[in-house]
Amino acid sequence: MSIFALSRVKSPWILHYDTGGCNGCDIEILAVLTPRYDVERFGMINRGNPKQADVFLVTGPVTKRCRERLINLYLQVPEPKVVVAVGSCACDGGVFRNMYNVENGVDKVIPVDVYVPGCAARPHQIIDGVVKALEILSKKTKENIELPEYIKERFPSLNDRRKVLEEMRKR
Amino acid sequence: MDFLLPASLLVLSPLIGGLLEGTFRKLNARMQNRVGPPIVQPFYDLFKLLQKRPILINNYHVIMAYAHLVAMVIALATFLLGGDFLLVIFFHGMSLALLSMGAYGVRSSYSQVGATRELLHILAVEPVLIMIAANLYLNTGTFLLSEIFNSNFLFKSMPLAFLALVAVLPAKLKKSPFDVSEAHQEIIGGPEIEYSGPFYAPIYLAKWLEEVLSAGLIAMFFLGNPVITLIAISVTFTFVLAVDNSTARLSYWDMVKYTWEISIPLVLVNLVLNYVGVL
Repeated sequence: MSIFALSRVKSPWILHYDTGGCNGCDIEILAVLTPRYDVERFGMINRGNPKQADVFLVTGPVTKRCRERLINLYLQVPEPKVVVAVGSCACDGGVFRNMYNVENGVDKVIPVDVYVPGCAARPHQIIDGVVKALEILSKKTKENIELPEYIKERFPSLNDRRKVLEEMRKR
Repeated sequence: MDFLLPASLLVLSPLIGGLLEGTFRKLNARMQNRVGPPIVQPFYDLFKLLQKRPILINNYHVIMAYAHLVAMVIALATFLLGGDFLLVIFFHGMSLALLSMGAYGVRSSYSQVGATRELLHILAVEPVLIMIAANLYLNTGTFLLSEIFNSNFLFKSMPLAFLALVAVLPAKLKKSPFDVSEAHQEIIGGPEIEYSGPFYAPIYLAKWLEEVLSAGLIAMFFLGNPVITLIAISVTFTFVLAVDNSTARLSYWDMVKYTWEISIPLVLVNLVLNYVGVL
């Protein structure tokens, strides 16, 4: 493996966003950073900055209010990127499924690469999920831009992110 | 020989800086009882940043990132090749100012706040360095580093100036308690927040060079015996990291107040003692 391909896998910077869950998974994500689990040994840092992130950890069932922010954050993360849905809510809505104010999971709004089940997901599972995500990340380059199919059909070139955002908002 | 060592140090400075940064992160992790990333982690980060998809905010913003790196390289080159010490200080200050100008060029409010705080960093660090330069002149009779490098164990005659340098190192390296411009938990990187992918790489690289320059400044006080020089550098950096891990961030005003009320008087006392002939 060349140094460039290796460095893509070895340095995942994390962005973490809660789309309206109960904060249980978020506490577990923060536990992953503590000395007991220490994800920095894989090179992971919690950046809190979408523009410098590679791995997008999303928790929560995506409430209608969070939807737009989620799309906005997703578009701000530069490719190559992977999305990890952490917790039952993020996977399919969990206990909030079919409530009037939720979208029933992250994959209804943005493409998801890895699903980490559990309520709340255990730190071991989160680490395992991110390591799985890194395998997927190693196959991606900055050329594959991932968006839902209906966006790709309408905007094949994807040069104007603002228009893409407008379109995704309407849906 | 006189030219070969500094020139090779300059060429290898990204490598040395990267390893230094990696050691910092490893040491930091060990101090928190963690395993920590591998020592070559900063190189992985840099190569990854270069492969990300570029997202441009505006041209001016990106040009300032590269100008920041170039000014830092000039400061380091002037230092290693034995130029004027004042020139090193001014180019170092200019490099920080360029970063802050770039950060003013985008609309993110975090970036704007970070830019203002970056200017306060200059206000805190540069006067102390200039006072140290004045003190060096009193001891060696020159600002030229090529002649200062011939000196032997300057620490003996200017211990208080060295203490002042150690006191501003956290502000210079953006470590706690004076990491006010970066402040990752507060303003998420400050001036660097809007830089992404390949445009963040020059800033990341400039940070390593800043660490090499700081190591050089420490080494300047302990020349003569290479072993003592290396021990002094590692002890000082370990101390700075220990302080980084054991303190919380102070406000930007505390930073300026602290350096102006403690570091500058320390150098001044040393200056007077040197002039009187006590030290």
